[in-house]
Amino acid sequence: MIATPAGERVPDQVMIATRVVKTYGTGDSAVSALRGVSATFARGQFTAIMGPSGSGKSTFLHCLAGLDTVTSGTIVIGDVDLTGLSRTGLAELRRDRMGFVFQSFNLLPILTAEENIRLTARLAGRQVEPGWFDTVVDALGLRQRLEHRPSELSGGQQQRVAVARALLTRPEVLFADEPTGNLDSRAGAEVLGFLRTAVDDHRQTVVMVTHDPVAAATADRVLFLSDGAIVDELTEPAIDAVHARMRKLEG
Amino acid sequence: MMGNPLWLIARRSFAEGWVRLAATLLAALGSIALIAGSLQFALRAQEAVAGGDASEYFRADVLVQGGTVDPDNVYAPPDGRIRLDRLASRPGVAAAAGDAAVAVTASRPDGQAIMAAAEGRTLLRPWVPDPQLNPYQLEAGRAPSGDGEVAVVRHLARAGELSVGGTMTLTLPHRTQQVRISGIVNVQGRGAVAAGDLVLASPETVQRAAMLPAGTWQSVWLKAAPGVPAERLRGELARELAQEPGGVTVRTAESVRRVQLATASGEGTTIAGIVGMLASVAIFVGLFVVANTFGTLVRQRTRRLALLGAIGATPRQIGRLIRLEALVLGAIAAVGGVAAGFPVSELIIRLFARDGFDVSGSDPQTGWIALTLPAVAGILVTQGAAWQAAYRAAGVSPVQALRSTVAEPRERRLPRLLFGGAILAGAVAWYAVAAAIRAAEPPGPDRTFVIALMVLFGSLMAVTGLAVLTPFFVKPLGGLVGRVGRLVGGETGRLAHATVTRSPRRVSSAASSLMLGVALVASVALVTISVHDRFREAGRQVMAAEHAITSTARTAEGAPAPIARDVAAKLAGAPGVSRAAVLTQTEVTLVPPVPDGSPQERPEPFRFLVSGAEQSGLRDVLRLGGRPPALGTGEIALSSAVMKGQGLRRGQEIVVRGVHGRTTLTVAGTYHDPSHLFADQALVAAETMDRLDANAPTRAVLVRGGSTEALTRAVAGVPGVRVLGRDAYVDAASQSQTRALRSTYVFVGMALLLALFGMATTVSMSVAERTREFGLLGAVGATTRQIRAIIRWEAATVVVLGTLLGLAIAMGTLGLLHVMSGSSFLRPDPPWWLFPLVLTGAAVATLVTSALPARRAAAVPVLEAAKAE
Repeated sequence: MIATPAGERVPDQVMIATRVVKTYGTGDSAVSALRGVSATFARGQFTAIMGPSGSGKSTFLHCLAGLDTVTSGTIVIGDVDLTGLSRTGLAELRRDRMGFVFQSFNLLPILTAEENIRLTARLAGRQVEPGWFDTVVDALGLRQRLEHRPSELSGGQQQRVAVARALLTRPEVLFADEPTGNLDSRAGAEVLGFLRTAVDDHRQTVVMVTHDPVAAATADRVLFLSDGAIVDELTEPAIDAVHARMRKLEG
Repeated sequence: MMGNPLWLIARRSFAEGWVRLAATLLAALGSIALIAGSLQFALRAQEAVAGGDASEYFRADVLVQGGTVDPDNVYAPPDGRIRLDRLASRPGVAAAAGDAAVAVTASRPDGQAIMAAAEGRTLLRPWVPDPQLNPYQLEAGRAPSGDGEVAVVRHLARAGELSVGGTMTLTLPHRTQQVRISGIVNVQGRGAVAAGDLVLASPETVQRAAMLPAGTWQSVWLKAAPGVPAERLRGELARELAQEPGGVTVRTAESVRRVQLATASGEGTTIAGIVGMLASVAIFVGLFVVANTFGTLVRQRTRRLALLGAIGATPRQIGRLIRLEALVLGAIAAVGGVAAGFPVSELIIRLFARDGFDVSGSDPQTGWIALTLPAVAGILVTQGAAWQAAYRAAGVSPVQALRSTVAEPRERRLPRLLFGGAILAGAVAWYAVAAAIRAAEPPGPDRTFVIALMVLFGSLMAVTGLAVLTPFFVKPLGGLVGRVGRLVGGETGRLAHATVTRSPRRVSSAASSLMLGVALVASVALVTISVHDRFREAGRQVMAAEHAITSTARTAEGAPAPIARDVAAKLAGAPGVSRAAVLTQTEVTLVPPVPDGSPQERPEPFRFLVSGAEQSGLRDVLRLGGRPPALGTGEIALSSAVMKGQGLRRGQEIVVRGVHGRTTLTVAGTYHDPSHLFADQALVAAETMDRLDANAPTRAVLVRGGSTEALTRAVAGVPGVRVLGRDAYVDAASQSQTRALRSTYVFVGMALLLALFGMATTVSMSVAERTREFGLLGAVGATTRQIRAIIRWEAATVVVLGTLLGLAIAMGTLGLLHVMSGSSFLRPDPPWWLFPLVLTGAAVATLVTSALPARRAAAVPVLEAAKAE
């Protein structure tokens, strides 16, 4: 209940997770990854999720994005409860309303950068307004790289291509799972800058899992997970404050 | 601007991975080539057998044949005689010519026999002088005249490289004769007729060879007078000749031509059926191999497919992606396979020609059936094969894209067990059908064939079922190999054990390809050895003579051609010979004993082969089971199978219809020829044979006593004969019975090749899949040699598993065949050396297919491995 204090409901909520439980295995060998996590995500808000290893932060993101199933609880995006959807329904929901940037292996090696960027839209059979593609590509500085294959791009460029793909469909929520985990600090800062710009300029909602306080400080608020539950929240985070909370959590 | 994204991904994936898929592509291509080649062969065989529509009866209007004629068998000689002069002067007849046919063997001057076209025979027939009836168009030379001259059809001239003025040797029933070629003819532009090749001699010569009394013929061709329709002439003659002794059959030439055509197309269909059945094995192997590689492909692409799923590709789209890739593969394989089908059909034609079935005279078929059917079949096969892989791909969970390592996910055992069990149940159902047929149908070659077919289908299903269940065998076996590996190879053995038992599906997909190959080869080897051994054993048991004089030529079925009967006389004086018995054979029809009241219920006439042999001292050369009594003239001994099948008993009188009409014989006894080679169905004395068919072909002369050299010297003057020892003769004589078996060799050989291609693909893919893993091993200090050793231990598991399952299938199939057909020729009693031989072969095949990828994997630089995908 920490995430949604009464009376503070933001009118424009994009996604609401209610008492999400995720348990692996059954009986004595059951392991709880999430024990009733609830959170709301407002439009145009950049949320970072942090926590020690094994706290369940990645599992929470996967459940929010419909990549993984939940044991109980509901996740409503827009007006759809995704916990009740079929695999096909989930896939359609993801391509119509979500964007993804993963830590690594974001791109199909057989497609060029441009083909990768357009892939989600084309799988949905949707036309992208020509101006928007140019805006995204230029904003991410990928104009000169469109014909290149992923293997010909640096790690930072590959992540930027992934961001471009995620932004192109104007998703309701953009999920990022450790997007800077494999990058050096400069390339990482660039990618975070692009996400921030998307939030500020286009009211893009972003949910990002990270273990890096510097990355978390780019967000509007930070949710701290420990042992499968949200234990703390920080709005307008500063690097030092995030550090302090994390040290406390990790003991 | 970019079209369908799935199509784009499928195309790019194929373009990127085609080297790895090359072996699969070859396997698919090979299987389509086999389909195309078999179809091509079947179409050409049909064309060759039909001989176009050339008929020697095309100028005649009405045929008058002596005695009764089997209406459906145009090639059975009439069993009565007809006088030419009784017909020539009748009203309504413009011209008449006598006809008779004697089966002969034509040989080139160097002694090499000349094979007749397609399934046909070579017949000696009279030249027709009357231009109104003569169907033979001279291309070169002139008509034959006098005793030593013949004209031959173009096919014979070409096949024997004969020209006008040259000579050839004719083996007639009673003697061998040198003849001069006076001319070369065609019939309606064709080089042969539906019956086969023709040798045309003067009417008197043919009459003598056919042992016909002067002025009489087997049949007479008539040309109707102008204005007389053929049907009317037929009706009038049938009425007027109805009272002839021995009976007369009058038919329009038109109706005979129709039957000829129907017979020809029927034979073509039979051949096409056999070839089609063999091709279906090729289709099965293609399916198996492609399914196997696509399964591996999906396993390897797990991460990519999961990524696609994560960013919004629906399960249907992912499934379609795999099917599209299979379509690209199928399309390329189809085009290549159809093209490769032409050389394959050439190979099949050559192999069949060596066995006596020569269709090389026909033209390559390029109709739309020959081209489209295999291509469509190929695309359907690849699509069908990719179905399961596509289903599996659609089930890949998006979370798998996010895992850093792609381990083989633990799968639930029950669905696989149920699926494999269901297929095995299907196999059992086929076996049950075979058992039901065994219970319901009377014994005979037809039943054995159908049962064998059902057992084959069942075994193909059993192979599939076992392939599905193979992963369950991997763990215990991998444990065993791992233990041995640890004893021998230390740490590498331990690592190999871990990789084998943790990825059972990877190991089992290679093992199942090997299992298929082993099952195919071992089954054919087992059947061949069993049949061969049984023939040899039974032949030794029955044939008391040490030698047989037989022909160097072969019939269309592959058995030795008949020889001239006078050869026996030449042996009489040979040193050491105590007995020389002529073994003749002719076909007769059993005339139903009681005239049946209801004509609708007339059973299919029973035709059987009667063997003739001199009775005194027969036991010196032939020891038949059941000890038939020495037969007198007019007596017949029947094999127990015929006796039982026809419901006859000893002492009964039966009427048979042979070349010389009806003959009444007394059943004097019953016996059994376990070899089926000498007197399979019935036996008579030489004198009785003369009454049935004085021109009965001589299959062999069996000789007791004397040495090979002495006998060879004795027959040296006779062209086209040779002296064979007991085993060699049994071998040669059994060729006609094992023809179907031999025709499977080429197909099984090619199917084996396909299975090996499949194995090569799965092995190389499974190694490429683990580039990273091997790189890591290298990084932590494994040497190149150690990495290769791991791959070798894995290969050993594959060999043991594939060989064991394959041999189990082969032994099981033969055992079932033995039980179901009850045939002593199909016994699961393999020689001990077969097992190590198959195991060695499997090991070599596995090493060869895994050597190259192992070398490449071991050589991958550590850093590159870490970067991969």
